[in-house]
Amino acid sequence: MKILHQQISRSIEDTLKFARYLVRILKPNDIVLLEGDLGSGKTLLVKQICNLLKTKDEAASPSFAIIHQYNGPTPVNHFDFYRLHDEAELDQLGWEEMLNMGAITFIEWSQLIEKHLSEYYKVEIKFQGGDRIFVLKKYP
Amino acid sequence: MTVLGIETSCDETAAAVIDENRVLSGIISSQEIHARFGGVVPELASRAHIRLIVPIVEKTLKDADLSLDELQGFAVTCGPGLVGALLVGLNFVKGLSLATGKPFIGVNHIEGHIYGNILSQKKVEFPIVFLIVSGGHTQLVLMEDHLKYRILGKTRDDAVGEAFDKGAKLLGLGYPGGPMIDKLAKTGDPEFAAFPRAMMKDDKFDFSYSGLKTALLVYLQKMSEEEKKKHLNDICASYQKAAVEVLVKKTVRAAKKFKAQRVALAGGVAANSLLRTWLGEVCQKEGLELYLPDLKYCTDNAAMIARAGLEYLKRGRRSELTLNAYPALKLKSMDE
Repeated sequence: MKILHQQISRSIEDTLKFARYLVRILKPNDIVLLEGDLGSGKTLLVKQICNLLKTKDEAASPSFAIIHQYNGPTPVNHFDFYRLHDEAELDQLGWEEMLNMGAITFIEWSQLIEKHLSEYYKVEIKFQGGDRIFVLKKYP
Repeated sequence: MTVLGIETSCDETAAAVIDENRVLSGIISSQEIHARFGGVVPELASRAHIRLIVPIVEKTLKDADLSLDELQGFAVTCGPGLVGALLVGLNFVKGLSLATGKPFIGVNHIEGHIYGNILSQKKVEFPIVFLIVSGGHTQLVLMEDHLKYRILGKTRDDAVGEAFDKGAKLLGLGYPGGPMIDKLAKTGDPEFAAFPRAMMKDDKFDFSYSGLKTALLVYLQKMSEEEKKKHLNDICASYQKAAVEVLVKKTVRAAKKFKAQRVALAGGVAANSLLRTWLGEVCQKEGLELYLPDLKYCTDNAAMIARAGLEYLKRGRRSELTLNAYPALKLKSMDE
């Protein structure tokens, strides 16, 4: 694992700066896991990235639907496994097939599937006082 | 006209038979099947839908005292929802249609929620401003006539039901969070904490609920466990009021702007007691008629799908056997 980038965010504009950094380095078929508590801003980050990538549909929370796909010049997959509790629930979703179809994939609440992935990025969002710290890691 | 409706877009396997605006029978898996099969139906599993769909449809027909031959057609949810789950219902209905030679129609789940409300009314008149609120959706829709919709606004991030569920999780309450918060809020002080009302001044009809959830998180981070416990009901009441106030104000504002004399609620959050009473009070003050859905048609069910499908089938519409399931299907008017 390598730490690629760290940034403190005090505002939406700071988060946008981090989103811009991600958009510069991410390529189609890349996978990014997003780790952070409820309310830490995972969905907001994906929303900003989708705006920067000019996807046709605006990103929104996929917690209920589990899988969102946003079309555009660079399509984006947005998975959210918040409601899943068991690995067996994963096999009917068809998520694996979506990973190598040219989209960038963001995965929230990815604990259940991390061990099935070989190459991926991870963004950790942590609270420190009133600030958020974004850490970008690359695996392996 | 009698129609069999089937709904498998998410967690529930459901079937119902209706005759015009009257429900003859209806079964929802989580309510009845637990007892029959023992154990809990997994929250998500298309395998569960596959296992449940035949016994549920058989029992629904039996309860209605009808055979397949006596039906005029079928209606099934074709989106939005989980693709694997949707496909179970859709393919099952295609099979029924092929075997019986009777027409079937694919129905949008959101449109189903709208007709769940209409199913609860003796008579409806248009136009109606519909507020559709659930775990996955928050939308304001101007319904100009049967099957004719204009989307006025929707959530830009989280659905309001999601704000309730995740808020409840932050508060250490169980699932589903909406009913828990609703219950505790009844004995709490809604003015105890000030939570944001997002996009309230905005004259658009969009919503945003992710900021409310974050505001609760930040608020709780500053509190001791003891304080949290002591003021749990107050926090629930304040949080619920913030979430509901935006819904009430925007819905009434939309009714005025589009000169609709009627307002209606649909979806799981339509069961929220504060939303029902507050909207009721404001509608009365403004001289608007309020259509409330029966509680049994707020959560996912198949009667609402059958009811929406009936409107299409009555107009001679039918889906082709090539119809697919669409996980991100948007609400559209007929012929749009």
